[in-house]
Amino acid sequence: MPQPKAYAFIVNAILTVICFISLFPLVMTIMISITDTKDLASFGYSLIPRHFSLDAYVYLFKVPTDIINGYRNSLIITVVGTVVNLFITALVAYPLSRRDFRYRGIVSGFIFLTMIFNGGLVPLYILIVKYLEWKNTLTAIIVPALALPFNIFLLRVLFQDIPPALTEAAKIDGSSDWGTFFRIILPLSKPAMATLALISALGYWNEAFAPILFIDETKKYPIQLVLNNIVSAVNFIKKGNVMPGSVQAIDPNSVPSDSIMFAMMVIATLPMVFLFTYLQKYFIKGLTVGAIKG
Amino acid sequence: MKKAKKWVVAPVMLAAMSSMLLSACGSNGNDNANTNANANANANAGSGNADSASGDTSNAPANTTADLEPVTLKYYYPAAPQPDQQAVQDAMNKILKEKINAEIELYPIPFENYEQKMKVMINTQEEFDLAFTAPWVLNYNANATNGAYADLTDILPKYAPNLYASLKPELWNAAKVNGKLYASINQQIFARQFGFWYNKEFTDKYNVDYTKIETLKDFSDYLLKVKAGEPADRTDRMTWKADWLDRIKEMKGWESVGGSDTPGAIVSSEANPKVFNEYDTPEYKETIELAKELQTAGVIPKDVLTAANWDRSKMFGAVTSVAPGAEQAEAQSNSMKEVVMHGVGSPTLTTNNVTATMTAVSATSKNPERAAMFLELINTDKDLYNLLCHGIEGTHYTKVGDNKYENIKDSKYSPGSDWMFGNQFNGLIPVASPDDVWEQTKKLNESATASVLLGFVYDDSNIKTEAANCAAVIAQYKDVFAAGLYGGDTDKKYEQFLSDLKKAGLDKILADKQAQVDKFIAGKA
Repeated sequence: MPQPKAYAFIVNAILTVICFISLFPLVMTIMISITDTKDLASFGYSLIPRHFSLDAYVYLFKVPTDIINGYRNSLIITVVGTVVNLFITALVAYPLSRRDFRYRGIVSGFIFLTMIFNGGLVPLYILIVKYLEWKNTLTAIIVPALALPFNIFLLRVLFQDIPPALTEAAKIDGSSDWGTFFRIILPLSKPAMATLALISALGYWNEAFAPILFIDETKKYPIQLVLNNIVSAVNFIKKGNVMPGSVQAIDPNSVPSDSIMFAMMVIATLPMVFLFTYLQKYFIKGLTVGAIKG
Repeated sequence: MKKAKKWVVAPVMLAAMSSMLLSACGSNGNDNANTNANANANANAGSGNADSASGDTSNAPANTTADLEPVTLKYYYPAAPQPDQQAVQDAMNKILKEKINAEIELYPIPFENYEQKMKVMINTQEEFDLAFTAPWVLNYNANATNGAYADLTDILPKYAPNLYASLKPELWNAAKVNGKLYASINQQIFARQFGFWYNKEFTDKYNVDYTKIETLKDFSDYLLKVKAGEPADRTDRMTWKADWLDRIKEMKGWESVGGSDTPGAIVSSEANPKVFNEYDTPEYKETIELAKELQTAGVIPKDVLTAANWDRSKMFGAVTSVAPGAEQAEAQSNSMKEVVMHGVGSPTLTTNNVTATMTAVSATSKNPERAAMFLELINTDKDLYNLLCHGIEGTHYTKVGDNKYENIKDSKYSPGSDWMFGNQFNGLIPVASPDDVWEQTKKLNESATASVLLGFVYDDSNIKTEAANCAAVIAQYKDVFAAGLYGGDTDKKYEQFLSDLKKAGLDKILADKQAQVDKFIAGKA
């Protein structure tokens, strides 16, 4: 047995290293985003900026309507998507976790099947654009990801950890199935739901492929696409016109191109960082509450 | 950890939030600007009609606006969407409504997503009308062959007569796939000539007559001269890794058959061209040796292949494609006072240069005729074209003199890609370009000699595996050769490279290319 003090020291040292490894890219990104672009060209990336400059942010927010629209759209997608997603996932997962539900094997099988086989891109696109006519709507981004098989199975396993004795006790006390679900099961699975909320919110927030396909109108772009668009524009300016023979309207040297990419990453990831710090308390709670009492 | 994150993030977030608040005031201003802009555009459109007689559609047989059903055309093209997109679209529709009773819906799609998105739309037969296409994005030939685009062979001459007459038949033929035309060509620079650009400050300082530099050897002598005279910290970014390994082809009057990532080239001026492996030539070997010497002399930077950032203002010159107005463009992107260029070899017309930017009509379009009429207008009506290219006069740009424009600072509409939309010679000229840049360009187009393969497009479907293998081999060696980084091993590596190419299926590729070229030549006669 090692000495408790030495033990703590080693553990802390390892954790510090891990912590540093995971923090480093984030800090680096933020630092590069506030570095003067000229410095980036002449000295490369460095952790401490030689010349502090907010040019990249000034450039990005020069016409802030796009970014604000993007934030708004992404927020709608993420909030509505996550709430509905949690509700539906829980409603599906709960019966599947009950041993007295006779067809749970068949239903699970069906859901599992969609995890392995899916229709592919073209049928999905035809369904959403031609039959449902959801092109240029946020619905097209929210709905396809509402009930993900993986989330359902994850939640089913967590629901199964709740002893059946609890639901039986509730029934004896006169609780309806809905009452049991809302008053007993859901409150007991708060940590699980928080985890799921985080997975789902991250998924919705970072979703870039569906909007590329389904959203044509600029004002309905979620933040990821707005930023993608800005990078695209910056690259275009930086590379110069594809065709020779015309001088560009914008002087490429006036655009802080390198730091913009990083400023953008900061802008795109910030809300998720906040969400994570907020949900963290549920994770910690989840660890302590987990045990079965009585 | 949690604390640290919050601490780092808080000031940035604060900045972000305060600009959000500010924007609330900003957006009101926007709306006002838009309405003003519309009013301006109306005035412009009105005056424009009178003096652009050539843009009138009355030439099209039996089509007056009154007979036409109102339609909406969806136009997709790769570009960064601009904040004032809607205002410009509205202004364009004022003109279009009056002339062809149509409205256009512009859908600029960010470059990175364009191809992917259009592929899905084409595969699912979604309805749209117009799309930008070229050999390099949304592959024109493949899509035309697969039936994604409407056949314009008869429609274009009928509904876009002025557009059709503005280009020589040989150019239209260059865009034909299996004898049929599937897109309208944007008129601009077609001739392609390669050469070098120089930072004039240093050609003057070292008394180098750049107009006499005709080969890579001469060019490297110039660089060596500068290297000897300038301090070391000024010469660490002298020139690019140089795509000169590709460009020696054009400088020698060769032309690669089906892209330079597979071996196989011809001499453009031969009547019965023989396909040869351009990598297995004395010229290529010489170039590699030269690159090695330049690397040893420190002219090509050691980190040229890996440097993440590149300070272009420190360069002294590089290989470039030469065109009227390109000097100014190069000077601007490098922050240099003056750049000069000198072309090597003679300007040539090849299929890829002619079809470099085109607009196709989708096969799913319900109104291909009206789409053709739109193409007629965008290629002949200067007001419409300049709206799409530069926005609204007074709001997004100011006119300088008769035919030049200058962007208004922080303009909310400047896609910067007039070559993408139509006849560039109808457009305004950027203020920094020479006044007669379009005249010069036209002259260059006229003077260019047509390649023997003009109109030929190589189909690699027979040799897909070999092509992929060869491309991998070439990618492995080419850049290192170009940077001269093999040093003393260069000869050995060059032998290795050639034998690797052979193993990857070189002979089959050359034979396939030769067969297709022969078939094309035979069909032409």
